[in-house]
Amino acid sequence: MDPRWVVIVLANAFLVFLEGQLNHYLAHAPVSVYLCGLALPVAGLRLRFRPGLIAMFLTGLVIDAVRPLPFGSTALLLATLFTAWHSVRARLPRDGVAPPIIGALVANLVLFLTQPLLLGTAIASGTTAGRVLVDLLLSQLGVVLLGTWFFALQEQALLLRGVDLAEEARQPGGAL
Amino acid sequence: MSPLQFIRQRPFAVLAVVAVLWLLAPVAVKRLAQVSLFEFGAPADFAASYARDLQQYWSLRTRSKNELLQTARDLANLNASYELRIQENESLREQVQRLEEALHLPSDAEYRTEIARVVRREFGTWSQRLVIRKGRNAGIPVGAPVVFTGGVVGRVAEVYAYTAVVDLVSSPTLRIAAMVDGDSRPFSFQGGPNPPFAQARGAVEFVPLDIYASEQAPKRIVTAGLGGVFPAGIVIGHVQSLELDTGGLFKSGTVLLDPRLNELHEVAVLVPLNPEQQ
Repeated sequence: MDPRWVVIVLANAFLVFLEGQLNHYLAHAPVSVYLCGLALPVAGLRLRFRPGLIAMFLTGLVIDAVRPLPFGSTALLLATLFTAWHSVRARLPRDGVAPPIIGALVANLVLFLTQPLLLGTAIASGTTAGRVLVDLLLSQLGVVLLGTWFFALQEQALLLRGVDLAEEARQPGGAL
Repeated sequence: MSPLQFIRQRPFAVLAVVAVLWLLAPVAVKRLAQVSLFEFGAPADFAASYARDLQQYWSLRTRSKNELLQTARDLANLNASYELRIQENESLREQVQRLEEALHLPSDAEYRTEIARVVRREFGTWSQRLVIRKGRNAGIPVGAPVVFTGGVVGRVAEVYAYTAVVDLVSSPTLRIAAMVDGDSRPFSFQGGPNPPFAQARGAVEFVPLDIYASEQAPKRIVTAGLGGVFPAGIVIGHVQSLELDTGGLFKSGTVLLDPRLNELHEVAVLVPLNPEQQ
């Protein structure tokens, strides 16, 4: 079994758990954060197509299992975002801290804003514009604050399994 | 675009195949995957929940003996008053049973109470849910009402082996038949919309025109007992304002829910004793 997608999926499952715990404490406010956009950048920037697609699809299923969304919808969305990113990544800057953070912010925005479409208008209308704005701002702030740490965690977890993504990306056919 | 050019766009073709395969996958496969992945993540949530309980235990251990004695005295007073209430309830229950038999009325659905700790609270933008630490292992069915000392918590939406997911009363996914306390005319209650940094809310519709409520004189609303899920008389919240709706035949308004709803640690699931009566 390819350790790349297994490690990425497990790390993303840990992200879903952390997000759940954070929201448990934020329920006092009550506000919430959505951090699933963080699941995309390492796969989008570093992984080859097949392990990346598997990792993103399974990550989406993990996310959908704990949310009241149609099961598989986030999986298809993440897979689509990954494919789009994979197809244009040769033309985009990939070095440094900014590209994965910006990628995560865009992915998070897309995933957050598609939720009401997936839930249906009856449920989507059951919130206020203020709540959407506050939750979105907190989510994007969370992505910026946790991004660097989470990407490093994923890369270190892969290194523990003997996979050096930075090295692989420089090889022929790699991401760089 | 020629077929060859399309095939060259391999990533998108593969994505399309994956999407079609997923959409055509049998519902049973999807359900199995969803339940398996939920159960896969459940132990981590359980561990976090037990860690919080342990944290609370050790924080309680730091309390002084005098404080504990005071609490024990308060609890003893409370127990004495509850003993009295239990006796009153018992005689009322017998009276109701006698009247039902005399008038040949169908008896109300009966419930047993299953107390469950809250594993996780989710006050999301579009839906509010709780995960509780009891599921199929405690005989909890989908649709069972969930209550706490302040009134309605919500309704069980999903049941897993050792956990259950509860749709909160503040969630737009939940609709209940309600009535003003002391009035028998039912109307509709729905959770949300919930503003940020404020008490959870709900909305009422189809309220009779002669019912008035304001912030200064709010009206307490309770479950109407219609629809077969919630027994009648459980507190939902307080109507803060009522306005004529567009048709002019009814009123609609905002309900403030119990402020403790987003801090719950323990809830009671009402498990029907005779589900066929529901």
